[in-house]
Amino acid sequence: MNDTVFALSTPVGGAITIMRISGPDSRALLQMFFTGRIEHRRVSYGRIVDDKGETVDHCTAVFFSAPYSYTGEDMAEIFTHGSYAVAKRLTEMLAASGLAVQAEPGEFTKRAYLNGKMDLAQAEAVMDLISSTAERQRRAAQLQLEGRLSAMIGGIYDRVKASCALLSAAMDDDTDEIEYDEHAASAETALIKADIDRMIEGGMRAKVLREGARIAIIGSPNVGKSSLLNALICRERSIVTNIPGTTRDTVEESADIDGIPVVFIDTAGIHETSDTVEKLGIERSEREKENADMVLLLIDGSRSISEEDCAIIKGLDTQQNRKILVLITKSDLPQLVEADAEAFCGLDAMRISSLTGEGMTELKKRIAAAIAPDERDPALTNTRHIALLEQAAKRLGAASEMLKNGETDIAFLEMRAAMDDIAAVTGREDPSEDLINSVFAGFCVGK
Amino acid sequence: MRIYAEKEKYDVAVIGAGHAGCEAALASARMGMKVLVLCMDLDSVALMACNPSIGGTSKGHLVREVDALGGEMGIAADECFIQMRMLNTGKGPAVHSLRAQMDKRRYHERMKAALENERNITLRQDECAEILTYNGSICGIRTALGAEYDCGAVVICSGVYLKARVHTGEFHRDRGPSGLSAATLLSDSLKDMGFELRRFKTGTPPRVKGSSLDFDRMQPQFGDEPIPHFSFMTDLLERTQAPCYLTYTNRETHEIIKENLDRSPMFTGAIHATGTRYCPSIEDKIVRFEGKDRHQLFIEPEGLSTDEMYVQGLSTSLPRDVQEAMLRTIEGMENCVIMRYGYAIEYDCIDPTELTPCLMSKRIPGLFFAGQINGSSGYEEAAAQGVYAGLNAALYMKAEEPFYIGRSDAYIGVLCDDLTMKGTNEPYRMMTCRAEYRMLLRQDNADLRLTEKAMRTGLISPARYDRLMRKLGDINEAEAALERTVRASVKLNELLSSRELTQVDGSVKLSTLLKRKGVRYTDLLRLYDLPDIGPEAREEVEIEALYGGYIKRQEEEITRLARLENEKIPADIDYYAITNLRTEARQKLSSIRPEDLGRASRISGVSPADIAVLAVYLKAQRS
Repeated sequence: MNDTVFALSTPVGGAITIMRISGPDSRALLQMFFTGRIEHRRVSYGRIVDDKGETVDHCTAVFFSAPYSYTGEDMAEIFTHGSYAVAKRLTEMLAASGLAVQAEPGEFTKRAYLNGKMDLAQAEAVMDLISSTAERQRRAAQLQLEGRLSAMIGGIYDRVKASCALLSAAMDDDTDEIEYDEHAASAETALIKADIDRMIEGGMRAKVLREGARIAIIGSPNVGKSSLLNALICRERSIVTNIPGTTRDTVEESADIDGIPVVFIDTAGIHETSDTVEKLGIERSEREKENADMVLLLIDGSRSISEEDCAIIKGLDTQQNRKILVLITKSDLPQLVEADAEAFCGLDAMRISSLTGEGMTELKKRIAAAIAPDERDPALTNTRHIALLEQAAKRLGAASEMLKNGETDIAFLEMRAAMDDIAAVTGREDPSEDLINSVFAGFCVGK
Repeated sequence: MRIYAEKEKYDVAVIGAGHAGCEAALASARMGMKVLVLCMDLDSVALMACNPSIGGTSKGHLVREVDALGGEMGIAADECFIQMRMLNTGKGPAVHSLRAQMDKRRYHERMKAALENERNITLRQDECAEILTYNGSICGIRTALGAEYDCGAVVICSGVYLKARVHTGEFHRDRGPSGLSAATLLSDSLKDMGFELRRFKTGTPPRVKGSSLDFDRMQPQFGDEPIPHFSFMTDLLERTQAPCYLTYTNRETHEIIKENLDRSPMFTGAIHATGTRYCPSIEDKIVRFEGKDRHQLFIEPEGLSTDEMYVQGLSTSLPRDVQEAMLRTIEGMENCVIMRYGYAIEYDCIDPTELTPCLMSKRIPGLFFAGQINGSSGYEEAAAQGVYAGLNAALYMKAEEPFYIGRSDAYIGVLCDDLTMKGTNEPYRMMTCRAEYRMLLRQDNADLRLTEKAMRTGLISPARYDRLMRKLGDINEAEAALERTVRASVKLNELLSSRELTQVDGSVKLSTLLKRKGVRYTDLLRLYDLPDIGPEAREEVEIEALYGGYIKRQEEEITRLARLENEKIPADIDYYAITNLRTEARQKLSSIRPEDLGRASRISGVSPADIAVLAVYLKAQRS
């Protein structure tokens, strides 16, 4: 646990490459390989020299003394030219020194957290930032980093704490001096639960930023699903033929739509078949359709709507919380289908052609609009946070009912556990002490 | 001059005979130890220097636990009470708490008699001046009168007496509570032994003459009928109970206090000690709770043979004339005559994190501490620590393993764990919200939790054990009988309708019926063939039916925690060698030196991340 670690902090191939070193031997390593001056927080110019005295690169480096660094440990950063060869040589030299090992992913942040440099929510936001693949994701992670999430959850935490404090004071009140009304307490608890629910709902939308939105492309055989996929990701991924049932299993491809990471799922065409392999494919299509964040339903515009098309439309569960967009394909051919929402049970519809690219820009815009989280939504994107808050909300819901029944003691247990859940999101310490302080600050208990 | 130097020899010396000292002495003596009890004034044995009541929220739990361990407080309270009342009955069984108003003089006499009647105890009036050690272990004590006694263990229960100083307005004097002398010698001996002493402060309200009050203008509060009791050994009680009275401060009272704050030693700077937030003085309350128009006062009789009444809620160190002026603004107290003035008292105490979880000094084997010297407040907290320290002192003398009570066993465990692991910056008061396993640690089941566990101490009398076994037998018999399935009947549905519950058709398990709120065991007993068990067993069966799910959940949590507690930390661990621990955690862990990960996790300033680091480190060390 106490060793020195290093890692390249930038992808190799840019203009500069940054090598980061953290741990007690950071200074020693810098002295070993770098010819420039080493002073706390001072950027200096020098050369990287290997053990044979040969110059590897001209570079700048900066040294941070513990605890005044990102990780709270001694740290060094070396800025070399963005060359693969230099990065490789430097990595080899550091590893061969025997003083340092390659850092695990997220290691610097972990150390920063362990050394008390940031709270858990901030640390997790940094982790998200590191693994962000698209611009929006970076922005959401950035906002979270800035403590918006911490502040919002802090607000919820304080309200649960206040309710717990009231209950505690009432239960530790020997002479009925505390004004405590279980119905008011029950109502407040239900309100907090509703607020957490709203946060989670916003968070679900924001989750697409982290994990990518799953968009299923469905439709009857040979309506152009694979062509659309290829057009969306700009390369030949699915095999396109005019033989219905060519795509027998689902095909997944990632793309970046307006800065949002998206996974497109090209599904097997849905129709009655006796082919076993194809049947399995169709079953998977059905599943993908159910699990997707958005569904693109394709109708071949060059032929009349078939019974199969109708069956697929009717089979869609429009109650589920996700977007469905009808695409009338092959707009380059003479059209036999009206692009009328009423024709498709009120679903939005538009024309596209994968061949000419007609409607593709509009389609991407619509996809982005449908799945993009509201920028004002809380940046609740971490699955662990969502799970903890869901648990807290569940407990508060139960507590609210118990309070109505005068079961103050078990209601308190649920609420106290909810406090722990919420505290676990921000990594806040010692809710017990927090609560006791709150009881004393808010209530005049005692003789 | 001739010196008669025949040295008396004891096993255990108990310093102080307050609520901690009495329990400590009785526990040690009943375990066969020869015990010396030193007390500065034998007329103040088990003195209730503050309010004349025992129990109350969470404190009532402690009294029952002391009783379940074979302690004296519960039995004495059942004998000397003048009113009994179960609090919090509308808030669920986990927080039901018994409170008893005491006849203060009788309680003192009753406890003193208990010590006198214990043949292993020598009760003597003298002041301890010095703790004597040999090779780092306890070997005896020296007193102010110059006596030296040999002993192998010492339990210090000095209460608020060490270098005590009282304040009433501009009056300041070095003395103990209630006009008694302060203990001036022991502090220095403790300092010489390396204990860091701290100053805590507490206070007490004025006592007024009952006949000068107009009770018709106050709200009376009566005791419960039938009368509940503390001790598991007590049977049905019958007695005429005395009422208490409620009244309130008002704006005029608050004005007088505000105008005279500059004369309060709390604000003039005459007091340097830390007060308790739990038991604030009235001047403190007025300042901290500006917006509150009134504060409740509770008038408690100090006994049946005196007219003195205690004014709970009005603890103060304001000057004499201000106390009089503010009391006379209160409804029903316009003509009140003060008999004793309120005062604040400051005293020396140790940092309890210097103690093991069983209240023995980590540095000096055989030296135990219990009660307010450990930074706690309250008679019940003191008694609980007293019995715990006393029995462990006896086990220490017998070279037996300490008797450990954990957080999941009892409020006593929570109390001692909080004190010794977290320490305290103010007088520590037990509160139900401090106990995380509240559903298990109820006042009704203290005997089930502790009595059998304590068998090896020898404090459990055969009669007490028999009662426990009978209760257990009753519970098991009833729970087996409740597994029966019955067919819905007219009578059953009549019962359910009368309790506003939905009727049943078909068949139903009796235990399922009992799970419905409003159905009692006695209801089912009238309809079905069930064992006619005692009321205490009935209560357990009903609570188990209603709260079984929660009880089970807490038991599972305890099992999880036990796993952490099984992760022992080597005594010679160097926390500074574990680089990923945060600095604060390193300092805290190094000073408290917890014995296992479970305890480490409860130290404030040690975060879950620190525990994870520590767990990884321990694992790496082992492999």
